[in-house]
Amino acid sequence: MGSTMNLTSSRIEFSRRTLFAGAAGSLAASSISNEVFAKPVKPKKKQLLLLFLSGGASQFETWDPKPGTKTGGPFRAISTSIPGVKISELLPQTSKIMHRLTVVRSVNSNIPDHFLGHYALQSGRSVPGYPVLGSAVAKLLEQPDDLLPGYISIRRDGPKAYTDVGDAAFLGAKYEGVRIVNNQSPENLIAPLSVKPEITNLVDRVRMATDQRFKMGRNSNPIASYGTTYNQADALMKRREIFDISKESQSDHERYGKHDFGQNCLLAKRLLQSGVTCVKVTHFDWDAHQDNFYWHQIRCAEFDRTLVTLLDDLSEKGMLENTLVVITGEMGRTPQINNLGGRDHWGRAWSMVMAGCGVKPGIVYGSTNELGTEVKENPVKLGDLFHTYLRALGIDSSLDYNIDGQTNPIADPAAKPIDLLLA
Amino acid sequence: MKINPLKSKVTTEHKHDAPLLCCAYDMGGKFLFAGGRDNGVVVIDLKSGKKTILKGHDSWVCAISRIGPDVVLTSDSNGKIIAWDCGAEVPSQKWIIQAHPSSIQALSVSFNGDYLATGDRQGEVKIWQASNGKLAHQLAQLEYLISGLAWHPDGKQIITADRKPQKPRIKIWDISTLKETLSIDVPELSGYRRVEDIEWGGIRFLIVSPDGNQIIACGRNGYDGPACALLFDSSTGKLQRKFVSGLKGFCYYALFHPEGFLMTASGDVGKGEFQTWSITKDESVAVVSTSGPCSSIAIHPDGKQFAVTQSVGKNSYPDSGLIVFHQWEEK
Amino acid sequence: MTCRNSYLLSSYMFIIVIVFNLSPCQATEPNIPLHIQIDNLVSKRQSALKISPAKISSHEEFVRRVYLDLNGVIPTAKQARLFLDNKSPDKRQKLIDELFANPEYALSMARVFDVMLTERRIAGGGNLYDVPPTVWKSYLASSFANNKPWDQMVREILGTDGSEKNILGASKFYNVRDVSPHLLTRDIGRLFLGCDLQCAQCHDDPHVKDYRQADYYGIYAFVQRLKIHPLSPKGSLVAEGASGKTTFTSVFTAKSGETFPLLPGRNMIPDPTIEKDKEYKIKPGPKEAGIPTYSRRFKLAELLPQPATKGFSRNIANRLWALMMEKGIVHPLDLHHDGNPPSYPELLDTLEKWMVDHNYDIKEFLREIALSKTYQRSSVTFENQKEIPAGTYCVAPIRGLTAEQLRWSVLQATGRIEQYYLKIESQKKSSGESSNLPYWNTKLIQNEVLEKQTASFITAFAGLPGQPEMGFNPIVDQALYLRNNSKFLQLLKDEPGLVLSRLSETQDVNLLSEELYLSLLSRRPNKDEIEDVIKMLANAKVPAIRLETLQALMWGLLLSAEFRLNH
Repeated sequence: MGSTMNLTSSRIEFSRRTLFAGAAGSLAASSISNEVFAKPVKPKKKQLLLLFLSGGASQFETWDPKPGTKTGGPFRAISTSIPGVKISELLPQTSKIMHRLTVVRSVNSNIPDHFLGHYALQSGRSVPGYPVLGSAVAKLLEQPDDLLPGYISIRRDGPKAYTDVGDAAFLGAKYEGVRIVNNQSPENLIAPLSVKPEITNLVDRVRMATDQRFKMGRNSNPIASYGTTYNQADALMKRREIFDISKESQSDHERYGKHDFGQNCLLAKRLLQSGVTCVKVTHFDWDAHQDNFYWHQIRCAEFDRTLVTLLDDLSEKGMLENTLVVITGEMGRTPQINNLGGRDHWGRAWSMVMAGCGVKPGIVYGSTNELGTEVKENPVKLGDLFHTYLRALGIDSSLDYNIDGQTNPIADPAAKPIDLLLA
Repeated sequence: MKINPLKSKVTTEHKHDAPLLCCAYDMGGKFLFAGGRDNGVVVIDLKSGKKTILKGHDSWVCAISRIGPDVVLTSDSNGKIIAWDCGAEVPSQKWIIQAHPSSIQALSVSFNGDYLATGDRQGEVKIWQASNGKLAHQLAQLEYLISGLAWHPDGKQIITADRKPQKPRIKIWDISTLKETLSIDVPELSGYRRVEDIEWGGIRFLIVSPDGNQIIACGRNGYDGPACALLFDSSTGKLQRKFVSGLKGFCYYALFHPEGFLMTASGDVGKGEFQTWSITKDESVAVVSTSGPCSSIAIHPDGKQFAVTQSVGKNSYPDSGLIVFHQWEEK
Repeated sequence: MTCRNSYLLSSYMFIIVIVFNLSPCQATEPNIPLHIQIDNLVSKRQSALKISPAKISSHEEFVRRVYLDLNGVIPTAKQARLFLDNKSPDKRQKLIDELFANPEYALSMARVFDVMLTERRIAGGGNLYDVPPTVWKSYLASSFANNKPWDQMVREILGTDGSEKNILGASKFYNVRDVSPHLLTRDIGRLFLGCDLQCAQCHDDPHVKDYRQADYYGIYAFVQRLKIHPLSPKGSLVAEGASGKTTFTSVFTAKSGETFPLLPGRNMIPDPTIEKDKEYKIKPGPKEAGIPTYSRRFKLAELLPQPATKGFSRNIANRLWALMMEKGIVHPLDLHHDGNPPSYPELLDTLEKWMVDHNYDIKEFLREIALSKTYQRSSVTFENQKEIPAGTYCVAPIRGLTAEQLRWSVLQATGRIEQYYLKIESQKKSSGESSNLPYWNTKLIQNEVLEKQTASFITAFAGLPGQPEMGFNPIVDQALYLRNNSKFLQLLKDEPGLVLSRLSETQDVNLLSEELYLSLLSRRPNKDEIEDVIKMLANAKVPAIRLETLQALMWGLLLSAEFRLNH
């Protein structure tokens, strides 16, 4: 609103007038957005949804069961909608829609660590300093008229230790994930009633005029990226209803599930539908160093039903063909079962899954040996997966970022996309 | 003839190729049943020393209990219970029930042997008729994993342990009304960690003293240990005594000898111990260290011998099991 | 002290001499003050690369920067005016010395080292077994107030079990990590030696060939026998067992190893043989943490903080450099290894050597950096910024204020610190009370009220627990906070004794503008800016509207990049 004003020529009355005009404009904008909201997003825009199983889900209790073996645990394997392919009995709903999924059973990241694994998974690299998947895709798929943040990360509150280690790195704050904690709208989305709009307007004028002068002769990057955060804040405040899942139908609440993960996925769908490019949902507590089987029963029960609901919903709304869904933890879990009935950190042979935009459905890629201790066929690195995600979204992963004259490959040049997985 | 609870010696050992979690003798003292991290039920014929693997479960065998004159029950991680008839030379299936949709973590048989109770991961507690495996009662769902069950000797009450985060609970229920009569919070056995928001501890096993006056809950004190068993007054719910193991891990099992002393089994990384206690003393009266974590103890109906199940393996990854038979010295 | 004064008086002459006779051997000559050695090395590199440095910072830039770096807060309008109007040629040096002498130096360093050493971790048991924040902060503040050498601080931090009265709180490093041996191993490596050996826990690091599994377990062996002793009557203590072997197996090669305590670059330390039943000086029990006859941890405390330990001196030199210059010469700060070389090796060598020669004198080291022209560069340059190679220091970096600096600077800019301390002062006068605590200690306690008012700042601006503080990386949540958060807006309200009320009482717009800009941006407004203020106030004749307009002016400046960035 205030950004077009010339500070030195403006007067208070003038700013009031614009302010009213602006307020009317924003009202109009929000009613339009509501209307847009009822319909599917404009076609062709590709989007990304990362369902992150934080702590590292066990491949044995999910996608790569080894029943009846020393490493297999107590659970059975069940048949799926892909003939000859079995998954753990803990995912009965998912087993019926396997033909819509793309499963990789041969990930070898070799990083048995939450922080490093989470970063490497999201950036496709082990060298620090690169943007995470959500930030990268937000940047690479950005369209000039995008107002909403390109990347939103939905998670639980509490100690932040295991999550969101990455950030937008050199892409700048604009591509940093906006965090939504405990299904609350981001904090501070509403201006307090006590603050009159003309005051806000004045504040912006002073801030921008000061920044304009401060920029002279200085490195403009930090100054500009700081300024950008205010523009993003404006955009979010105007469209805050996109965070409000109470606007979703009761039946959707029921079928997604009332637990955090269900509600988070419902919100993720709403955000994607509103046009946010990338959404990450973190499903917590897969780090089962103890009582692995008990915890996987609980985790999988939540995950199974919600995943199927989500994919059905995206598909019904015609969104799945343009949305790449990536389902993975930051590592797998040890084949060996420890003395507390747990499985520990493991990066050498584990599984992940994709669905939707750009990937070939109904295939299982790679395999592990009988006890699941090593990859047997088609080993896959996290860097390869990163290339694959970008390619599935129609991005040429061999390109470079060019930011302020510095070039940087968007994906690790030492890795490559897995063509067999791509549609 | 009395035994000396302070002195025992190993008589025989049996290896098994999966870690073992539970064991029980049949009433006649002919067999020892054991189960663990595989689908087979291990049966040792005590006379011949012959080992048989019984099939029927398709998941891990997590609890075993004898019931009635000739029957032993085994339950698994898929919610199935098998009753084994021990009348013949090799035990055979008497009945099978799919008792729960999820794993059975607790199994307990009434003192008179008429009923059995089972509890599952989702907090369901069901009471079954022993003769035919028919459902007799069901308690209101408890929301949290049922990690322990014990019958009061009066046969009219049943006691549950659940894994409520931060405050694992013991609850006493009147079976005639299916109402809760007492609830005891046991924060001492919580291993709750805010980082993961998970209860990593909890009550791992629950028993009642033969006179019904005391309840014993096994587990670990806090997140880092030590392993311990707690003694509660069953009428007031007051914590009366802590039986503290020298190990950091968990106390997994406890049982009373007919002569009144208490035994506990505990395990830690690559080691274990079983201890003998007088319930009037803080310190154990006897302790035996073992090479692997101890998971359960069974006392032979004659009261003179017992068996201990163990896990065996390198560091924190057990990959096989051991049944060790012991005999007490006679007084 | 006298020696330092004499060389400062002739510092200009020195520079001329040195620049013209520059040779590597002279540049590291020990009797040349460090700030001149720094400047010489930096200008050598600049001329080699044919880059001309930016001018020396304006006094306005300097006063804000040095207050933030040395006292953790921007100056008040009064302090800024005093400095700017001072005509004395050595006023920068005088200000530096003044800031080091303020109690705020110790308090601000305590905040910096609190974040550095705990990384905002939360202990597993919450506050139950942890050292209370005030006790820890007062340990740190007292250490910095007394300018305790770094090696001594590290010795105390690693050596204490939490029971010594004179260094109460020093065990925080252990407690906040739940005395967990693996976590301690990693953070001892990262924070005291500059090496993140984490990957070497399970195998030799495949990405960093300098990091070996044996190094990891060498440190691990020192702390492996430690655990928390929560039941002690003295509160929770760090307890140490008398036995425990350290063995490890690579998950790649399945090769096993056994090690005794070992520090990088030093020899293995075998345990002495101790007679049976004499393993403990005090036997551990439920109510006694116990003291082993031979303590591996005491060995760690004794041997790690020594020049012979690879990385120890270099790490602290690099970290303190980063404190003043935005980035370390090795960056990230915890990744010293061959694959990540220093941006200017000779400079780091010089700093490291100085540290060792001067017994890890933190205050003097920071003082030398502050005195250097390298530190005092302007952030304004008309060179093409994108083409400036790293490690040339030809222009001052633009750095984000840390969460703590921001909190205190907002309090300062609004006048809340002055207002609060004036109130305390007048209460003290009327009650006649006096305290015999050191000044920093009194302030530490009194500051808690102000910290409570601004706790939401830390939530909004602090980094992730267990992660090192990153560079300036603003996010939209913070912009929303500064726009809409009611706790933040509370600070902008009008109350007697605050800057806003002073402004509203000032009728002369020139004086008003000057007070406004000095309070918020530590500089006087330029002509355009005064014009803007005049225009904005022209129609705000009604007192309530005038106050709102002034409030908006302050708020706008608080939200500006100039306020948010140390430059």
